[in-house]
Amino acid sequence: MSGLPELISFMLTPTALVLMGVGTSLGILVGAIPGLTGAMLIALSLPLTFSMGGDPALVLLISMYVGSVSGGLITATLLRMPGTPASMMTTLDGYPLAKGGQPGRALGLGIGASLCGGLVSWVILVLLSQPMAVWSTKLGAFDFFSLVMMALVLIASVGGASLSRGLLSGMLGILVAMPGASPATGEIRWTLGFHALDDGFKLLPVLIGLFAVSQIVHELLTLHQPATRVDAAQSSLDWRWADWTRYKINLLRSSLLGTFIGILPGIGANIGSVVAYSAAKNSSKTPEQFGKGSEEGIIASEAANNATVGGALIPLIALGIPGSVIDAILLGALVIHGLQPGPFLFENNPQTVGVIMATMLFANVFMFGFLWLFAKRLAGLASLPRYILLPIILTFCVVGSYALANRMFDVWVMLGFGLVGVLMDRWKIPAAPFVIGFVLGPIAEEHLCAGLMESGGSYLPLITRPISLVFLLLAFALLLWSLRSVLRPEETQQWAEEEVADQSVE
Amino acid sequence: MKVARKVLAFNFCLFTGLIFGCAQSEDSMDAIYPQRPIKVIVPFSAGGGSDTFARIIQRVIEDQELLPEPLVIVNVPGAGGTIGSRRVKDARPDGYTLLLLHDGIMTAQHSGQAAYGPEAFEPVAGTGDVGLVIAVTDDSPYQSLEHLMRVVVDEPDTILFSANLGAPVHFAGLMLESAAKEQGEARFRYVQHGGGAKRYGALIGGHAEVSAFSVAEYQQFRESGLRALAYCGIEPHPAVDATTALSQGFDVVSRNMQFWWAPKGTSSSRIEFVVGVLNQAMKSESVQKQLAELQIDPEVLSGSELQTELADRSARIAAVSQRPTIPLPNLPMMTFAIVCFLGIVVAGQSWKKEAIKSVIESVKRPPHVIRSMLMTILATIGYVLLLQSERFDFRALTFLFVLMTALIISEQPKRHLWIILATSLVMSVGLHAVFTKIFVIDLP
Repeated sequence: MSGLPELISFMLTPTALVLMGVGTSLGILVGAIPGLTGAMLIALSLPLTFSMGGDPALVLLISMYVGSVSGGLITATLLRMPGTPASMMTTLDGYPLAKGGQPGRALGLGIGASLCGGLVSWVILVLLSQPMAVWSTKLGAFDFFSLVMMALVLIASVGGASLSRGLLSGMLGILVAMPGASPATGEIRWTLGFHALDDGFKLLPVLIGLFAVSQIVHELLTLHQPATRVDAAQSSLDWRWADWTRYKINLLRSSLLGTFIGILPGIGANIGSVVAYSAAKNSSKTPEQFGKGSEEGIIASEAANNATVGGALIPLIALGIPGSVIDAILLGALVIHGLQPGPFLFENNPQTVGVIMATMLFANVFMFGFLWLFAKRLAGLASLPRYILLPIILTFCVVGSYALANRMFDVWVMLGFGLVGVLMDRWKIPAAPFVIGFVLGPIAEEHLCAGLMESGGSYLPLITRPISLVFLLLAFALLLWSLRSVLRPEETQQWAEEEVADQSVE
Repeated sequence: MKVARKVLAFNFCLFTGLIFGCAQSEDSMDAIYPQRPIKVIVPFSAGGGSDTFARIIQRVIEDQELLPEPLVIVNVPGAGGTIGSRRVKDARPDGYTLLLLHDGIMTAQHSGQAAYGPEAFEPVAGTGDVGLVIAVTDDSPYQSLEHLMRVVVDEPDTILFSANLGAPVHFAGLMLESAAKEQGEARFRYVQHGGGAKRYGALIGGHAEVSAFSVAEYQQFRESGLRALAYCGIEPHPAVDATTALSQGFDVVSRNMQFWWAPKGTSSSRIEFVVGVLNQAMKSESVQKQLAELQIDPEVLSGSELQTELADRSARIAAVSQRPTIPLPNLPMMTFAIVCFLGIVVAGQSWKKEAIKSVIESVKRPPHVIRSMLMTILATIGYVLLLQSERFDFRALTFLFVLMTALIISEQPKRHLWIILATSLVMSVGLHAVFTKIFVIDLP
C-alpha cells in the first residue's frame, strides 16, 4: 500500500483519534442498549458527516460499526437481553455463567473473544480485498447482475425467517426502489406526478423509518415491562493469557467462520454467531454444557459476530456490493463523499482504502479498551430512562432525514416508512432483506440494462458467460436447498420464530 | 410540586411567545439587496465537480467580503440535477435562491428527462468553461479520432460507447456521429455506465471501447491507462495530449460551463449585482490559482454574450439526432407481480394464526400505553407540519417537541421535570448550533 507513513500519521492525528474514540464508545453504548441498533446509530450520524471530508467520516462510521457489534455482549450477559440481535447466542451461555456467580468471567471471555474475532477478520480483510478487487474488473455487466441475484436469494433464504417472508421482504424492497429515475436510462417512472419523487425514495429516510421509528413505537408499547439484571460491580473482569492458548482452536474457527459468513452478501452478524456457536457445540468435548454457561459458547458467539464486520467490508470495498444493512449505509456514505466503491477505489483513492482498514484495526483496540474499563458500568447506562432517550432519537430522526437533501419530503418519507416498519413487524416480515433488496435492486437493474445495451438486447450472455452462469446456478441451488428445508419444517420453523422475535439487523 | 407546575406554565408561555416572535415577517421589496443569505442550489452531491467549483467561489466571496451576507451552498442532488433545478425554478424570484448547473440543463431537456430548459430561468452568468475529452484505453487499436470513426461508419452499432445517458457525455458521442455523417451513417452502441469512475472501469475491464471524460477525470485516470483521442473544445487544452476534434476534421464542440441561473422574473438589477460579485470573485488570485489546478478557464460570460453562448450550445445539442435505446424489460411491473404473488402466499400461510395473535397482544397492553404512543405520534406529525410551514423558529419548535414527548412518555412527569427541561434545551439549541455552525446545513 502506498503512503503508509502518511496513513499512520493521519490515524494518529487528534481528530482521527477523537473520532475513533467517540465512534467506538457511542457504538458500544448503542449496542448495549436493547432496542437501539448500530444501523440506527450510523444512519442517524451520517448527516453529521456531510461537511467532513470522506476519510474522517469513514473513521467515525466504521468505529461505530465495530463498537455496536461488541456492545451487545454486556446486556446479553448481565440483563439476559441481547443489546443487538448479533449477541443473541451470547445470552444462552453468558447469562447463566453470570448468574452462577461469575459475571466478571463471562464478560471477560466475551470481550477477549470479540477482540480476537475483530483482529482475525481484519487480517483477512487486508489480505483478500485487493485481489478480489482486481479480479472483479473482469466481471461484466451480466456477471454483476447474476452476482446480485445470488446475493438476493442468499439473504432471503438464509437470512433467518421463513423463505416466503424473506423473499417477500426482499422483493418489497426492490419495488420501493423502483419509483423515480430509472438507473439504466434516467427515465422518470412511477412518481404519480410528484416531482419530489423524481429521484425515488432515498436510502436514509427509508432506513431511519424502518429501523428507528418502528423501534420507537415498539419501545413505547413495552414501556411498562421492567428488566432483570445481574449486579457485576463486585466481580472483576477475568480474561487470562492462558485463555488464548486454551481456546485457540475455537477462537480461530469461530473468527474464520464469522469472517467468511460476513463476506457473503446480505447475511450479517446474527447468522455468523449462530453458525459458529453450533460448530463449537458440535466439536466440543462437553456439548451438554452449552446453554448452561459454557465458556466455549460465549467465545464462539462473540468471536464470530465481531469477525463478520471485517468480512462484510470486503465485498463493499472490492465490488461495491454491501454485505449487510450497515454496509449499505456505508456504501451511501462513500458515494455522498464522492468516493466510488468497487474495483477502482484502490486505484483512485488508495488513501481511503487505507483509512478504512486502519480504522478497523484501531477501533477494535479501542473497543477492547473501552469494554475492559467500562463494561460493568455500562450495564447501568443501558437502562437510561426512555422518556429522555426516545424524544432525543425522534428529533434526530426528523433532523437527520431533513439534512440529507435539505427538504421536508424526506421527513415525510421517513415517517411513512416508520408505519411500514410497524406493519412489517406486526406481520413478522423481517426488515433486513427489505433494505438489502432496496439497495441491490437498482444495482441489479443497472447492470442488467447495461448488459442488454452491450449485447444489443440479447439475454444469452447470462448463461454463455461462465462467471454469470456459475452465479446463477449457485442462486438456483440455494433456492432449492432452502425449499427443501421448508419441507422439513420442525427445526427451521423454531429457529425462524426466535429470529423474528428479535426482528432487526446486526 | 406547585412550583414545578408554575415553572412549566411559565415555560410554555415563554416559548409560545418566542415562536410567534420568531415567525418571519414577509420580505419587504426594499432596494437594498442582499439583506439575508443567498442560497446557491448545487443539484449534485457534495464533493463532486460542480460542488467543488461552487465552494471555491464561496470561499473567496467570504474571505474578501464581497457580499454583506453569506453565500450558502445547498446540495440538492438527484435525478441528473433535475430535483435541484426544479426547486429553483419554483422558488420566489427575489434573488435569494440561485442555481448552479452546467450544460446538463440543456441535455436533460433535449433527451426528455426534464420538461424545461434554460428558458425557464433567468441566466445570470457562465463561468469556468472546460471541454470534454474523447478517450480510449492505452492498448486500444484506435490511434486517432478519424481511425475510430471510420470503423464506426464501416461497422455501425458495434463500437461500445460508455455513456451517462442524457448527460453531456452521451451528447458528445451523438455529436461525433453527426459530424461523421459525410462519410456515411455512424452509429455507436451506447451502454449506460454512469459517472466518470464507472465509465473508466468499463473501459479498463474491456466492457466498452470509448467514452468521454471531463478534463479533471481524464487527468485522474491518465496515469493508469487512459489515452485521449480528441479534445472537444475550440482551442487545444494544455493538459490533454490530443488536438481538438475540430482540427481533426470533426465539427464537434462539447463543453461544460458552470452556468448560474435565477428563477424567472428576478429583477435585472439584482442579477447584475450578482454578476458583479462573480466577476470580482473570478478575478481574485486564489480563484485563478485553484482553477488553474483544475484546468478550468477563469472566464465569466454575462448579458448578451451569455445569451449568444447559450443559444449556440442549445443549437448544437438540438442538432444531434437521438435514437431510442433498445427495448428494456419492464422491471417495475415484473417486481410488482412477484410481490403480489409472494404476498398472497404469505397471507395464505398465516392468516388465521396471525389474526388471533394480534388480538391477544393488543388486549395485553394497558390503555395508557396505547394512549401515550398515539400522542407521541401525533406530536411528531405536528412538529413536522409546523417545521414545514417555515413560519416558526427551529429552536423553539424543537424545544417544545422534546418537552412534550418526554412529558407524555414519562410516567412521573413532575418528578422528572428538571431533567426533561434540561434535555429539551440542550437538544434544541445544541442541535441548531451543531447543524448550522459546524455542518453548515440549512435547517428549516
